Amino acid sequence: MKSILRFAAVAATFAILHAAEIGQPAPAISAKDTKGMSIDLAALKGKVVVLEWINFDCPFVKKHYASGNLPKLQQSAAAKEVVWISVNSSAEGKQGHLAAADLETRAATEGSKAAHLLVDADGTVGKAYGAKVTPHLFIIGKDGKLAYDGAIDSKASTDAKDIASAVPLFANALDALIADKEVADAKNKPYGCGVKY
Amino acid sequence: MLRCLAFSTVLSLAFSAALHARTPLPGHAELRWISASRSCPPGGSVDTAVRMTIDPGWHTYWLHPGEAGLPVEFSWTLPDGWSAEPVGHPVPERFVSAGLTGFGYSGVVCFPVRLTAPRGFTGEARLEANVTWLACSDAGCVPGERLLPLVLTAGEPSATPEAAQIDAARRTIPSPAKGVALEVVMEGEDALRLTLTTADPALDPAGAAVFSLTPKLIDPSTEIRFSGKDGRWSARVPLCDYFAPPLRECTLVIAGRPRPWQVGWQAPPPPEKSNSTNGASSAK
Repeated sequence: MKSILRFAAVAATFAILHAAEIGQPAPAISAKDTKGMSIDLAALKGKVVVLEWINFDCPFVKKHYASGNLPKLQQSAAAKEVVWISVNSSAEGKQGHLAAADLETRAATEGSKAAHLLVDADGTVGKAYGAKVTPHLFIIGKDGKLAYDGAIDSKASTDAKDIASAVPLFANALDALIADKEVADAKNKPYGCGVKY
Repeated sequence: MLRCLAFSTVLSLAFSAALHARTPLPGHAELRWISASRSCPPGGSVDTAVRMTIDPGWHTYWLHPGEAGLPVEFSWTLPDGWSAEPVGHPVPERFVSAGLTGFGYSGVVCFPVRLTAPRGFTGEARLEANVTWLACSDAGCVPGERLLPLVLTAGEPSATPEAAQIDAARRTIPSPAKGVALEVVMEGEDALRLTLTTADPALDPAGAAVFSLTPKLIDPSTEIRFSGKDGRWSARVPLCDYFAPPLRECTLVIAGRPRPWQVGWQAPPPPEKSNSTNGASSAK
């Protein structure tokens, strides 16, 4: 028992030490989306992948969906062959938690244009990436390395009126990556509700 | 059977009344704008405070909210000639919510603000405060917003029952300390060395909770603890993940007893260029 505990402690430490880092291979994801389709990050090599942490009851997430900002970003990313995965790491009983079918319905209501929706109620994917808040955005380059870890934009608020005057940090990073340019401000502090693990 | 039904109706009514009483407040907080006096002489000042009573299990956020969250914000709609001093934000408490360290408030918190009337103030003035905030618990976050009215009449001040509470609230606001110096230097690549020097024994920071008012500088999940003696205190703190060099400034708030205080440090200006005619000596 002691050795199992020790192993668990070592594994946990390992996971923390190897949280997602810019320029390093993105932590593996092997899961099924809400439609039952397999998502294997390794198989997506050669494509740019976006991971977006969601909780549709979080006021910061509401800001970017009700305004149409996130659906617009998702649509424009899809047109550029970017694979967009929205991850819901809210644990059962916590704000924003939804079972697969309910998450699909809710995402459709919110106007989501994400290619995949992922229920991560045990927080495995969220913790591997160190997802802190909703929304928290990550971009993985075609080489499978983490290229962006940060906020959707520069104005920490729940007011949709702030979107127009904010610096679109995430959109800028995505554009740069697609154009094979260096991503400026690749790691910045995301704002939002804490992920409800 | 009927009696049973009647009993259950009473029970369900009682239950729904209890539920109604427990209906969460918008933003999980109740707010009032209280005043130390209902009257204010022309050209005089009156101490007021926005009192926020936060639902149990929920918290709102300080100016530096920590790893997530948003500060409580105020905007004032005042009649011509009236002015409001900057609102005071009391020393916060540290909490961990949804695994993230936050700085903020729970229970009852008062944000004092001093208002000044114009010299020609007569009759009655209607003032409005618009307060926005984010409330979070382990389970979720909700935004809050409230428009609060305050009516003041021209005249000599007379204390309200809330005057003592407002006076107490003013004492929870950190003020810049005199006779203390803060020095901040990098220690390695991922830590800072903070040093406080003072000859004033009342400013002993050992054992006091310390908060950084400067965002994206010190890792919020680490408690800042000073140790030392003879007027020289020091603390090593890890840098925040989002720190972007160079090191420019740092303001610390110290929950000292009996009064909280704050102290700031700014990086010295870069060396003057030899051909510069700009008066860098005016920088303080």
